[in-house]
Amino acid sequence: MLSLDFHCERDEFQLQVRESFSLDGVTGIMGPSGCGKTTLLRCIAGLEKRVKGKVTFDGLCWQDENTWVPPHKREIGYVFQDGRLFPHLNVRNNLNYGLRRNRNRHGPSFESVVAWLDLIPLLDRPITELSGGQRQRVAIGRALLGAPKLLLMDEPLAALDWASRAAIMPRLRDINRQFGVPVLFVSHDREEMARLVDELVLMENGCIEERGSSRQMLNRVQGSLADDRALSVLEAQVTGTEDAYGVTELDVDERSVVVNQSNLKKGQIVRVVVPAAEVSLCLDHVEHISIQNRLAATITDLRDIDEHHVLVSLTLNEQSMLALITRQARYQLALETGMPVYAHFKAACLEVV
Amino acid sequence: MSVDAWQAVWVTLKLAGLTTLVLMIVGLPMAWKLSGMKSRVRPLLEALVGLPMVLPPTVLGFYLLVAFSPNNWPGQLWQSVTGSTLAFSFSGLVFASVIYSLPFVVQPLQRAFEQLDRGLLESAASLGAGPLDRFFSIVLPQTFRPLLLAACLGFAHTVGEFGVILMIGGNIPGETQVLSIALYDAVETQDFATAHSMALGLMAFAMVLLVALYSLDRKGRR
Repeated sequence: MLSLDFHCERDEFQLQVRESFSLDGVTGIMGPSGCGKTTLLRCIAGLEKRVKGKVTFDGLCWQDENTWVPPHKREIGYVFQDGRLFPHLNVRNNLNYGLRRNRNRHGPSFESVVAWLDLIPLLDRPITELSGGQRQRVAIGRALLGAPKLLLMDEPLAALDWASRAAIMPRLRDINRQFGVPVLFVSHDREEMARLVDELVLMENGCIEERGSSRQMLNRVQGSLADDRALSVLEAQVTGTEDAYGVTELDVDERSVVVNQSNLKKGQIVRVVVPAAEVSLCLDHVEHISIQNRLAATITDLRDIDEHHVLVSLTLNEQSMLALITRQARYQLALETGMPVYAHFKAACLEVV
Repeated sequence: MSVDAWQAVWVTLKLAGLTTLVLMIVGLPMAWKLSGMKSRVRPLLEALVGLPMVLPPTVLGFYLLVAFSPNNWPGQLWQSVTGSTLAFSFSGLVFASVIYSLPFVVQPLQRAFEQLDRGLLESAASLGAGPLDRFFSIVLPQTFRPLLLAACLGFAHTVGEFGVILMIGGNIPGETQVLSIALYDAVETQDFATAHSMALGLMAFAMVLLVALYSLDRKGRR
C-alpha cells in the first residue's frame, strides 16, 4: 500500500497528488509527456527534494513534515529510461552493485535473475559493448537484485527499437508473478499499458485524472484514450493446443477466438490485445470468409471521435471491446445502441500476453 | 651539491607532499559543494578560491604574514593551540602553500564533478548506496583521472612557489628553505655551480611531470 499526499513545484509546473495505491501487480501511470509521470516516480523514490507532503509505504513513513527517508533507505528499485548503468563496471559488477548492498534482505538469487534475463553470455562484457536492449535487461536485473519492495520503472522501453522491445516485454509482464514485487510502470505508450498493466492511472497536467482496471480504462468510448489508436484488452483462457496450421483456440466470454501464437498452454489465462481499427462489424453471420474470428456481440455505445470515425463499444457476455469504423459505415448499416452484430478481426492482428 | 642544497630538496618535497595531501582533503569537499551549488554566492566563492591565481604572490604573502603575526588573532589562535608561531615556520609554509595552490586543485576537481553524470548517483542511491558509499563507489572511479591531475598540479605548483615563501618563510636551511629560495641564494652568493644543478633539477622535474600529465590527459580522452 502506497499513500501519497504531496505537491511538488518546479518552474511553471506543479504536481499535485493525493492518492493511495494498493499495488497488487503492475500499476501503470500513463499520460502525455510533461504531465508529471516521471516527477511522480522521482517523488516516490525520494529523488526530488522540492516535494512537500506525505508519503507512506506499507505502514512506513517515508516523508512527512518531520521525516525524510533518503532514497537509499527506501528499499526501492528504479529502472530509468536511459538505464544508467555504471560505465566503470562490467555487467557482472553492475548486477552485483545492488546485491552487495542488500545482503540482509531476502531477494532473488543472482543465478535466477541472470538466467531469467538471458544475461549469462554478457556477464563479463563492459557496458559500452551492450546494445540498448541488453542495457535495459541489465538495468532491470540490477534493480531486482537489490531486493526492492517496490519497483519503479520509468519508460524502460522508450529508447528501444521494436525488436528489443518485443524481447523484453514478456519478461516485464513476468516480473510481478516471478518475483512478487509490486511494480509502478510509467509510460506514454498505450500498447505497453494494454500488455503489462493491471491497474491504469491517467495523468494530465500534474494531476491524476482517472484510474481503474486497465481493461475498464482502455475498453471505453469515453475519455482521453478513445481515439483512432484505441485498443481493447480481452481476458481469455486457452482451450486448445496449437494445431497443424499454427493456430491456437482461446475462449473469450464463451466465444471462440483463434490466435496464431505458439507456446500457449492449455488452461492458461491470457490477455488478448485487439486494436479497435482492426475490428470490423457485420450485421449477418457470414460463413465463407477468411477472417477467422467472428464474435457475436451487442452494441452498447457509439461515439464520433472525429469527423470521419466512430468508436463503437461492444459487449460480449461480460467483457467489452472496441471497434473503429467510419461514419459512413455507421449510417449505411444504421448502427444503433442495442443492436446485435458480429465483430470480425483477423487472428494475425492479435497480441497475446 | 652541498648539505644545504639536499636539505632544500627534502624541505621542498616534504612541503609539496604535505600540501597536496591537505589540498586533496580540503579541496575535494569544496569542489564537490561548488559543483552542485546553485546559490548566488557561488561566483563569489569561486572568485575567492581563484584569487591566488591572479594575485601577485607577494600580496598574498604580505597578508599571510600579517595574519600569522602573534599580534593578530589567527596567529594568536595558532600560538595558543600549538605553542609556536606560524610565521617563519614549516607549518606556516604548509598553511600558505595550501591557500596558494588551492585553485589548482579545486578548479580541475570542480570541472570533473560538474561533468559527472548525476544520474548515476541517483541510480546508486536507488540500489541502496548511501552518500559516502556513492562517493567511493561511483564518484571516485568516475573522476580518477582528473583527481590525479589535480593532485599533480597542486604538487607541481607548490614546488614552483617562490614569492609567498620568501615573504613568510624566510630562509632557514633545513626548516623553511625550499629549492626555489636556495637557488635564489646561490645566485646571490655567485655559487653558479649549485645554481645550475638546482635549476636543471627543477626543470627536469617540471618537464617529467608535465609530460606525464599530458599523456594521462590524452589517454583519458581516447
